[in-house]
Amino acid sequence: MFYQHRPDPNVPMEDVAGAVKELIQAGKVKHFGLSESNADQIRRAHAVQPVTALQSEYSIWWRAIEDDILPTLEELGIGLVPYSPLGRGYLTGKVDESTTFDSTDIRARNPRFTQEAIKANRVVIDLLARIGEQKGATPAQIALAWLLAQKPWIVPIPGSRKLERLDENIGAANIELTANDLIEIEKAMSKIKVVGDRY
Amino acid sequence: MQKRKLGNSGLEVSALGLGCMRMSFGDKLTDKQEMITFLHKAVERGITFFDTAEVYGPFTNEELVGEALEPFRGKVVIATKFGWKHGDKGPHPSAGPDSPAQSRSNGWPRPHSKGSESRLLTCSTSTGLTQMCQWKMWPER
Repeated sequence: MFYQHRPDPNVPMEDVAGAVKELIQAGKVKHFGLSESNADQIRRAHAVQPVTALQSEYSIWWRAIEDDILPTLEELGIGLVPYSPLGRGYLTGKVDESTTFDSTDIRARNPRFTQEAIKANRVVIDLLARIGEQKGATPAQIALAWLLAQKPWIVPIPGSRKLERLDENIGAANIELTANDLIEIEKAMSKIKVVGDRY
Repeated sequence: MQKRKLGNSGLEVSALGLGCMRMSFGDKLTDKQEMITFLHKAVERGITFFDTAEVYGPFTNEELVGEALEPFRGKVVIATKFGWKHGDKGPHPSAGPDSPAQSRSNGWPRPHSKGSESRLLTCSTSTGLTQMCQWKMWPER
């Protein structure tokens, strides 16, 4: 699959879609994707070359795409590939105020990883841990299971470099959140104001 | 692992994919061989959807993913991304897309995809071998 990494304000979406269409016709790539595009951009590209998936940030603590992007994807039959589904590691609950980030680590400059934000957002982890206790699951597994429960055409892509973490993530695919669980999460999240920009 | 379909496209992948960026970018350096072994173990566990991008590195992450998954050609899906400036500001949205290089009159995105092709050396379906042949026929620019 070949995604446009970000919309380019200087190139019409139709041209981008047309160029990828040619690549698909030539057998160079199989599928067309977009990333962080708005609803209008998705529609314009999709009209030229059907879009297989949108890759945008989506997780229990970053839900901006729910207003107009998710309904657009559903209407057009486009899949969603949420990136940073574990909030760049925060939603595992393993990050706290004493965590230090190597200068090469992109989180060292991320507003959601200041000590203040780490402390203020702990309530999200507490919620995930509380639900997790009922299910015998970790906070990360609940965060991923929550995403999987939103729509059947959502495929999160948590990053990992450790087998232990990979296995933990994979375990999330077998955790089922009931309608009541989702309502409980929804109620609790509506009372939480997440601190810090995502970039 | 369960599978899911991405929209109406018919593309079926494991319910969870694997983000590969930090295996060679945006974090402490890792050992390449170790990451190749890790990717193989992810395939063994049923992951069939791997995410990379040209700008991760730039280039090195596509190389890693392509090399590691070559033995699984036709069994896994690689997703990569084009159109992000490899500027001195590094991997940040404020760096913006590399607009001049993206003008269609310059042949964009062909130069990018050509690079991704040679780095990934693999593709998403059972027609993999055919595609390899086609890739070799791609005219040099």
